[in-house]
Amino acid sequence: MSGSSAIAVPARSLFSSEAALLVLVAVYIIVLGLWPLGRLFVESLSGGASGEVLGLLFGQWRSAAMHRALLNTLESSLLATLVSVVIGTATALALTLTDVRGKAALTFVALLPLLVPSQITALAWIELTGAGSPILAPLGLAPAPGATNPLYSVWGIVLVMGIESSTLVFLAVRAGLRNVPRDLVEAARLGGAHPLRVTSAVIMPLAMPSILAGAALAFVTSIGNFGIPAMLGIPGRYTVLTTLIYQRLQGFGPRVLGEVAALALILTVLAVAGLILRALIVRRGGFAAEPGAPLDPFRLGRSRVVVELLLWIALAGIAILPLLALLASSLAPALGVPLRIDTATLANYRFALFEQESTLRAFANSFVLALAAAAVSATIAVPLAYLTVLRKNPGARVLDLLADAPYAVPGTVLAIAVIIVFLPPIPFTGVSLYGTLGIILVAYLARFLALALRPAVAGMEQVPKNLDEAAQVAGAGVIRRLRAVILPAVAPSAAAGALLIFMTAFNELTVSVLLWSTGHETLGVAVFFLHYEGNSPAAAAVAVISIAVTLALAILTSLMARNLPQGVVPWRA
Amino acid sequence: MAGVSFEAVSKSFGETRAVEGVSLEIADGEFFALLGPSGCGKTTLLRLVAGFETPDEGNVKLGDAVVGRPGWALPPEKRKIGMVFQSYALWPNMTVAENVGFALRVRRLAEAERVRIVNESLVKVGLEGMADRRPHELSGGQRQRVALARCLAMRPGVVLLDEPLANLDVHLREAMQEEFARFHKEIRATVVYVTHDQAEALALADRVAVMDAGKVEQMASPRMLYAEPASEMVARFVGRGLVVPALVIGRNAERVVVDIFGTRLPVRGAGASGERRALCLRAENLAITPDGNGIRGRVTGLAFHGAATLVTVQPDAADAPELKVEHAGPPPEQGSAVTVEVRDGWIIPQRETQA
Repeated sequence: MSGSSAIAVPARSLFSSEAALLVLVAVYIIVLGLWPLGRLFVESLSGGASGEVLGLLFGQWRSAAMHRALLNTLESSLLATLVSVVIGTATALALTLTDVRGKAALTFVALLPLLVPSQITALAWIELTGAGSPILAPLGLAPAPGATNPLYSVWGIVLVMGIESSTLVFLAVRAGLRNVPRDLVEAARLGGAHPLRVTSAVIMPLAMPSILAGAALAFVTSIGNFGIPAMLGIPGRYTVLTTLIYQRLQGFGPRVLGEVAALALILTVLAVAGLILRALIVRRGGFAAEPGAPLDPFRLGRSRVVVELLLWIALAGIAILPLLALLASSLAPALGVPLRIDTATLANYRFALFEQESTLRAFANSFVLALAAAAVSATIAVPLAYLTVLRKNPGARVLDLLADAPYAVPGTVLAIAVIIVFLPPIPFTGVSLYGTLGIILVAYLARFLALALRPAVAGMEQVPKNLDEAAQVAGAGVIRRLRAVILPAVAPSAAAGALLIFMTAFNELTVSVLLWSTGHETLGVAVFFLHYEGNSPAAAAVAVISIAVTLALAILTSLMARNLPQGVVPWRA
Repeated sequence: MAGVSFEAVSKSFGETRAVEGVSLEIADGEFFALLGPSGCGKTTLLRLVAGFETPDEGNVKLGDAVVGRPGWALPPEKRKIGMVFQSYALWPNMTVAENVGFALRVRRLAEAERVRIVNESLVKVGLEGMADRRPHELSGGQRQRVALARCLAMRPGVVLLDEPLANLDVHLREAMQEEFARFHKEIRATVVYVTHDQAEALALADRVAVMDAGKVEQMASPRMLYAEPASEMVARFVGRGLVVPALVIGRNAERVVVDIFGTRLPVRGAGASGERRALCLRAENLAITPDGNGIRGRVTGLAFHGAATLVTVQPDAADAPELKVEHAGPPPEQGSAVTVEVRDGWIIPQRETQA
């Protein structure tokens, strides 16, 4: 027996390794996300050149451009939210409550806009509705050559942004419908109510909180959207807050940082108001229900074929048709030349991938950025989720909440915050991150940690606490336990989170459009400027490639999701 | 090796007082059971020994070293304690051998030595040849043995067992009980065994602490606990004793004479004439006699138990509770009048009955 006769009690150390880990994560979250956001707010509330109290804010508040942008933001976001509620709710009702066939395929199509980044969605719609539309022109439905694209207007923004955020409403309503207690519906039917009556009298009132919560989320997303108002609104002279900030910074450079910070504050207030509204709806509207027994779908009988047909036409029109137009444009020989089998060409792909150096560089940059953001975020998310869920560390719980802040604010706001802090040289090094890939990476790390954290927490909740305790009893310290016991258990969830980040970061535009510099372009920026410079076929080619990459990764994630706990993959049933 | 002691330890979770002023001394090498109903605080005591909880008041000691005091606890990973969890807590990503050898790897034992100890431990629990299996490929009993081997391989001075048999089939429990007894004899470690099953505690432990509502009701050897329960709770919980009200009448040699339901009987214990006391009766100390001295009543229920029949008798006296009698041989008829002879009884000390 080797057991020692007494247990040696080491001196109390000030920091346990667990506390050290917590401090490390805290420094990461504070330096990358919270400190910049805090600085942004201080900056935006400062006096500015006039020295007046809150001078910058009042200066912006009095400006006519800001007024118009604010009203436009509210107008387009509210209308887009309306569109998204109609589309999202109708789709969710049809796919959850009825016995239509091919639900998996229909759901995939309904969620497709979630996977396509804003600027590419906008580009696809521009190609679909333009004078040279490869789909509408042969049918004689395209606008006359030379006419302005009808989407370059508030209605275009409302339509495209509404379609894009309809996926958020769809997901919220579907989750809400799944929580409707089955016996309430059955009781109503036994009482003699027709399925339509049951839907309007029982199901809709119960699903209303979910619809409203989804709508609030769609509103917040629309407010922060940059890609769609930039692609459709700038040519249409319809400016919203995100595009106003972009144009100011683009035109005047960092010396207008104070003014755009004030604009960013207004944007933040709108977004936070939407999020608070959503939190209130979620808290008040929650009815206790046993998940589990799903609703029995209503049988549509003979009208089923009609409903199926309508669904396919609507969803294909919304989600697939624009992408087909995009694909066709990418194969078109030149602007305005009609696309036929014999004129189709891969020249645009060759140009984008081999001839234009900046596009090729953008692919490489976005790949590196997305990979780094995914890997580092997952690496930070796992210990934070561990401290929060398994160790119930109060400090970690606070950090877990705070980590959402850089993701909750619009990307434009975070980008400005990061410029404010990382434009001056980093203390003691004399090196500035501004004008390097580094500043984009910093912003991505701050913004996307939340995306890795949710899957990591969901995965961690499935790990029995005593696996950790057993390793503790065996003498393993916190790092050892993370490596040997915790990581193997949550690796699939963490990997799913990393894939989500990669997919999002690979196509990111809103943040990088404010942070890029020559030589440090991202893929989103490349598509944006190729289109801006009038080379739409090349922009389409780059967009098609990046969608292909995203779709492949999404399918990979979905395949992985079969073995993952609930809540890891957002679009999963 | 080391004993374990609690010095006036209290621990609350929010409003709940899980452990209240518990003092215990567990001797080096002792097999000690913590017995009680769920929520009595026994698991919290165990977790205080392991270092998963920090006491609010009082000290926890391993040997002479204080390992837990208000606001501070030596982390579990520094205590060199072995523990078998109720759900076994086998790491699913590791093979059986890796599970068993993990603590040795943490301690940086040379590989050859590690392999030797792992194999030795697996042989001891009868799992040779299973080294490369994964936990999910094993049956419940085999998982239990892996958890035990993992504990053995650490060569701990103190072993904590948290309801280790609760998740096993009934037929496996007895075999595992023997395994634990053998395991204790072999390594002579101090064992703290938490259970809600009194049969397990009585069969295995040198001493048992019966707990209720965060406090120790009685701490004694299994025999003492059974023969002389210190409270009504212990009398009922251990051996399913029946507690009936009794009036002390006087003494007869070494025994106290009491009156229950109008019948005078000599029982064990202490009591002064005229006192109303609680009396512990056990089914195996009651007998049905055709005549003779005893409590008269009627048979209201019969349950065949194989070797004996459990006969339920409703005494004739008003307000008397039903008596359960273990009866060998041909059972009396349902509804027939019988006399129940009381061969032994124990006056529960210092408690008044609710007359």
